[in-house]
Amino acid sequence: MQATPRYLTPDESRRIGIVALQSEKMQRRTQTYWQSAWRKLRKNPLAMAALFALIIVLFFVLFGSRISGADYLTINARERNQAPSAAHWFGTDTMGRDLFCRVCQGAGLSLLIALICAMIQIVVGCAYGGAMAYFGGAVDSVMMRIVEILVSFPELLVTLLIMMVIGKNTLGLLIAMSITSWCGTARQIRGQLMQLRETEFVQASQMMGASPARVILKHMIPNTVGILILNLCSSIPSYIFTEASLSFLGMGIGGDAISLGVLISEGKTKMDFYPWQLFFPAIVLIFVVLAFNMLGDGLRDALDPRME
Amino acid sequence: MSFLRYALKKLAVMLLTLYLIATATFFLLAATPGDALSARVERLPETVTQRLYEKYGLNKPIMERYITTMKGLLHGDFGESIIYQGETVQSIIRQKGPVSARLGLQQMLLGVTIGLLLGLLAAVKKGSLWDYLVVVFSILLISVPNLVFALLLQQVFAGQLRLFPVIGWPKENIWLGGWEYTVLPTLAGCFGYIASYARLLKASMLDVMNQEYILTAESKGLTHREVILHHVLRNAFIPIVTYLPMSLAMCITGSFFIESVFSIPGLGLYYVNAVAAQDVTIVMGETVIISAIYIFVIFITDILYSIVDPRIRIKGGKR
Repeated sequence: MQATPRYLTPDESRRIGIVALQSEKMQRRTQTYWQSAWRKLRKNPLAMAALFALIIVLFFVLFGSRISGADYLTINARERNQAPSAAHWFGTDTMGRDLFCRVCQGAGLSLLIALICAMIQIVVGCAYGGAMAYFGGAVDSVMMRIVEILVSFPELLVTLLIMMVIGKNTLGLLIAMSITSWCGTARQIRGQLMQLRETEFVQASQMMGASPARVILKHMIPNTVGILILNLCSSIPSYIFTEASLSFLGMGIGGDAISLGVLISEGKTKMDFYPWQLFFPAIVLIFVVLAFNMLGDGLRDALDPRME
Repeated sequence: MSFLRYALKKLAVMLLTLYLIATATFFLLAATPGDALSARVERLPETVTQRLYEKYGLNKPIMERYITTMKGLLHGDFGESIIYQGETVQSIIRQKGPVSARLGLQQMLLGVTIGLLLGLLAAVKKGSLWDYLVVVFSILLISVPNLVFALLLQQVFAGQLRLFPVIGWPKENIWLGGWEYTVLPTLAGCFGYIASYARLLKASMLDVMNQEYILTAESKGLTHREVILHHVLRNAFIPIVTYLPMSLAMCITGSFFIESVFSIPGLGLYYVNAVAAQDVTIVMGETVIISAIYIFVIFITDILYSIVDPRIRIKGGKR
C-alpha cells in the first residue's frame, strides 16, 4: 500500500531533526511608507546636513542672546559700528546694539512669520481642497471658479494693498501674505484626492468592504501628507523672501519689531563703510533658505514612492 | 462648435475676473485709513482743502465714487494722478512700461536659455558629477534672494571694480542703447529663471524618460540621441510651455526690488511708491492694467493648450 505524499507534521519533523522550512514567512519586517521615507532621507547627506543646520539655527534663535550675554535693544553710544570682535560676534550697528543678538532675534521673527503663513496655507488649502473634492459637482465648480479668480490677482499687488489697509505690522503682514497663498495648495489637494479616488488600490479596498473611514485613513491621508510636507518646505523660503523684500522696500513690519529683512535694509544704508552689517543678516537668511531648500529636495526624493 | 463655446466661456470668466479685481482694489483702497490728500492739506485753509477734495471727487460718498470709477474704466479713463499733477495712468505706462519690459525680457532671455541648457545637461547625464553640480548650483541660486544678488553685484562690480554704473538706466534709445546700465540688473534678475527652469526641465525630462513609450523607442533600436531629441524633449517641453507665458506676464512687474536697488524708473518701483502715497487713481489703473495683461496671458495659454491638447477642452479645468 502506497502512502499518499504529504507534508510532515511539526511533531514528526522535530523527531527526525528537520526544522520546518518557513518559506512562507517574511524574513524581514515590512517597512511602512514613513519608515522607508526616513531611511531614504537619512541616506541623503545634503538633506541631513540641512536638517542639522536648521536645528542649529533654531538653537541660536532660542538661546542666542543668552549665550552671547548681550541684549538686542540695549543702545551703547560708545560702541557704534564696531567690527566683529570677541565681545560682539557680529559687530554692532549704528546705535551700538549687538548685531549677533539682533540677527538671532530677526531670524526668529522671520522664521515665525514664515511658519505661521505656511501653516495657514496648508490648513486652509487642505480644508478648501478637501471640500472641493468631497462635494464635487456644482459646489466644486463654483469653489474652483473662486480660486481661479483669486489666483489671477497678481500676488505682490494684493500683498501691498492689504498691507496698506491693515497697517504695517506683523499681523498685517501675516494676513497680506496669506490671503491668496492657499489657492495653489487647495488645487493640488483637490487634484490629488480626485486622482486617488479613481486609483485601483482605493477601488480594490472599497471592493473588499473597507469603510470610508478606513479608506480615508489608510489611503487618502498617507498619500497626501507627502505633498503637504513638500508644500510646507518649499513655501517657507518664499515667505522668508517676501517678508525680507517687503521690509526692504519699507512696506514690511514696522515699529520696533526686527526681522532679517529689516536688518538687511538697515545694513544696506551702511554697505560701503560697514559691510558686515549687511553681510551677516544676508548670510543668515541665505543659510536658512538654503537649508530649507535642500531639505525640501531630499524630502521630495524620499517621499516619492516611485523613487525606489 | 465646442471650441468656440470653450473660448467664449473662458472670455466671460476673464472679464468677470477683471471686474472683480477692479472692485476689490477700489474697496481696499477706500478702506485704507487716510487718503492721498491728507498729508497735503494739513496746513491749507479750510476752503482750499474743500476745493481740492472736490477736484478729485474724494468728498463724494463711496458708492458714487465707485460708479464714477467703473464708468471711467469702461472707457479706458483712469483719471489723473493725485500726487503727480497732469500725469495719467496711460502716460505713466507709456513712459515706464518699456523700461520694465526691457529689463524683464532681458532677464528672461538670458535666464531661461541658460536654465534650459543646464536642465538638459542634468537630465541627460543623470547621476553624474554634472547632474550633481547643476542640482547644487540651482539650489544655491534659488536660496539667494535677487535682492541680495542685486546688492552684491552693485557693491562688487559697480562699487569696487567700477566696471558698470552704480545706478541708472539709459534715457535715450530705450530698447537697445546704454547696455552698460542694464548688465547688472539683468544679471541680478536672471538667476531665479536659471534655477527654476533648470529644475523644471530636469524634472519633466526624468518624468518622460520613465514612460513606457521611451522604452519602446529604445527597444526599436533608436540611438540615445534620437530618443532624447525626438521623444523625450518634445514631451518634456509641455510643462515648460505652460510656464513660459506666466513668466512673461510676471516679468513686467517682477523686478520691484531690483528696480529699487538700481534706481531704475520702471513700473514696479512706481507702483510701490503710488501705493505708499495712496495715489488712488494710479494704483487703480496700474492694478487693472497689470491684472488684465496677466489674465489675458492665462487666457491665451488656455486657448493654446486646448488647441494642442483637445482633452483639456472636453474635461475642462486643469491647467
